[in-house]
Amino acid sequence: MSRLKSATHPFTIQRQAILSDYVSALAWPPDGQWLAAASAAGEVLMLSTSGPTQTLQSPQTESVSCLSFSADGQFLATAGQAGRVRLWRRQPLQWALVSEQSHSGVWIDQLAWHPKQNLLAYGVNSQIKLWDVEAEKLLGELDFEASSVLHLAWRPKGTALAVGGHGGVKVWPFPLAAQEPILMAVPGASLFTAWSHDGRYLASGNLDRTLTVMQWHSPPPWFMQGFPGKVRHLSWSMPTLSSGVPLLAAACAEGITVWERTQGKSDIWQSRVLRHHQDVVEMCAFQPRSLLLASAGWDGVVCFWSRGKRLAQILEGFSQGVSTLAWQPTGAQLAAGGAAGEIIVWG
Amino acid sequence: MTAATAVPVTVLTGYLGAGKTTLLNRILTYEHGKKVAVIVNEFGEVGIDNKLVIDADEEIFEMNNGCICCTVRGDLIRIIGNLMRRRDRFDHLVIETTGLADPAPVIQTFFVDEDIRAQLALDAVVTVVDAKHIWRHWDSDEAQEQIAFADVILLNKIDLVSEQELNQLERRIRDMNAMVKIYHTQNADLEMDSVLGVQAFDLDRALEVDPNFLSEDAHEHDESVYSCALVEPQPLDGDKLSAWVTNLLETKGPDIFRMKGILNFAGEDNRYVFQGVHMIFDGRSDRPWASAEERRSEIVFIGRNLDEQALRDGFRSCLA
Repeated sequence: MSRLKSATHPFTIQRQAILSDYVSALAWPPDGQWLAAASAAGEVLMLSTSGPTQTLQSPQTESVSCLSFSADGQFLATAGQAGRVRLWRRQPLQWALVSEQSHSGVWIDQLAWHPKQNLLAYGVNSQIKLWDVEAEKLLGELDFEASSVLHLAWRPKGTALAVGGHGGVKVWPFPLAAQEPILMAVPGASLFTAWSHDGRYLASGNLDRTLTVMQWHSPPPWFMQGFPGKVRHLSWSMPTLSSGVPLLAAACAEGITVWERTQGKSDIWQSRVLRHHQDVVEMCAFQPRSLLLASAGWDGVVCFWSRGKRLAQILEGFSQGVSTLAWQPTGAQLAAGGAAGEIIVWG
Repeated sequence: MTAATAVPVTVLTGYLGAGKTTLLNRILTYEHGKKVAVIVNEFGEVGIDNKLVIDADEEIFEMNNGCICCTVRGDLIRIIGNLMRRRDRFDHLVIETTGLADPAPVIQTFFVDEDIRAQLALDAVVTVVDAKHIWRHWDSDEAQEQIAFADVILLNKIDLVSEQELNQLERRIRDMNAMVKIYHTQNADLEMDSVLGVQAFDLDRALEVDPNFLSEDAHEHDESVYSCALVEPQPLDGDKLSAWVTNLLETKGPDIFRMKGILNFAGEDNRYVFQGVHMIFDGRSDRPWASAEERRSEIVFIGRNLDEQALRDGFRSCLA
């Protein structure tokens, strides 16, 4: 098992690559042997930890907005402006395009693999398609109805799919049953949905500057207000505190708010704001199995916050903003992408 | 990452067949050296060959963040957010709405969404009116809103109407919207400077209203949607005005489509400029009053069923 980095073992650059435009997505498969990157110029790059880099797609007219590895690490799914969901399969030495679903005229920017099965969920306007990759058939279609799908998040064990959009988060049980989804209503629209790693909590970052958190099967939800902007990204810590509850980090405007549930005499969520970024924080992500939080800012730096509190390290190297982050699943490495196309891996 | 210069945005409204697509093609031809991104809500109607045409279904999102209760266009937030990741790829964004769309949520999106506000600047709402057939729709909310929210109106297909009919149409439009610039066109043919680079939402630009309109007293209006102007040479009390406007927007916000003004506050050397869309208010201190300039406050409201006398009385109660 790799040693987890801490403030006393600062991260250093392990690897760099460059794409021709904004890095829209980065992803590692569960074994951490590859790093896939997509750009707004339509590129898809597969970096290997042991072999040469493979270009899956060269620059083209349409952006690629999202990519993700299946739970078994055998498939990579990509999608974007062209309305194509492409599936790439791992071969002994490289990755090969094996199938494609086309939805002409629809910008597909949300997809999510089931956490246990080779089943891909993706949003086509207000519809959610559930594509069984092994059987090569559509397993089902759900309709969010109230708006386009703004975010998809499987419950960690795969027993439910949360879909965010106008009016809140709709949660469909899985396997699919003939029942209405459970709605966690939010004012305005839900932009980002995140389940805690134990599946107990569901959080929604909202367009109208609020955060909604629900303990599953124990409504009503908590409702946090007073944010200075839209709550654009969320991350739950994997370890829990002594109280048994994980930390929740929310990126909003130039700050990150870290929430902690205290169940003493009163049961409340307390928060602290992490300030250092000089511009909007696009994304934040807890290191797997630790409370080290990484944040990506439009100011071009990645900040590390130890125990979700103290600024521990600042990583530079981006000519414009930092657009996305992805921890390698062991937590040994962090990949970050830039608005100008830079990819930097620290370890 | 925030853009040094904001990308200008033109909103095209008007009924199907009025000439929107003809105007859009003229804009694309005129800006042939530039990258123009176009967001359309009725893809089938677009006869243009442009790689950056994106189809999006109109999605209205309600917003409720404390002081601002309004609607925005969720489809635009999503698509523009995606498009801005390729910001070196386009120099101008055109949003073509359907003839049945309410322009307010489109405009409000540019005030409310922080990312869009930081990177783009709404240039103008341009409405194309079919001079002959507009009467079929005249009493509809959509037609009235498209006229009331416009910064520029093309009275198109003037070859199909008499001069008298055209004058009557222009007079009725002017009564609804005292701030709009009106052009008479055939085949949506006009100088592109009239529709591009208008900067109608730029507070630095002076309030441009027909001086005759400012001097008019309250009068009867033919329509339920109309403009009214308030002019006041005596200086205003800032606190009183703030309280009045806050109350006005809370109680009459849905009926006030747009407002613009220049204010002369007692004890202030600088002009105060503002604009509003329904309940959204956007204002700031502007340049100092010039020595030769007459210090006076001017406000123009465009809205539905406005109580002109109540507005005048309320405004007068704000004198210092």
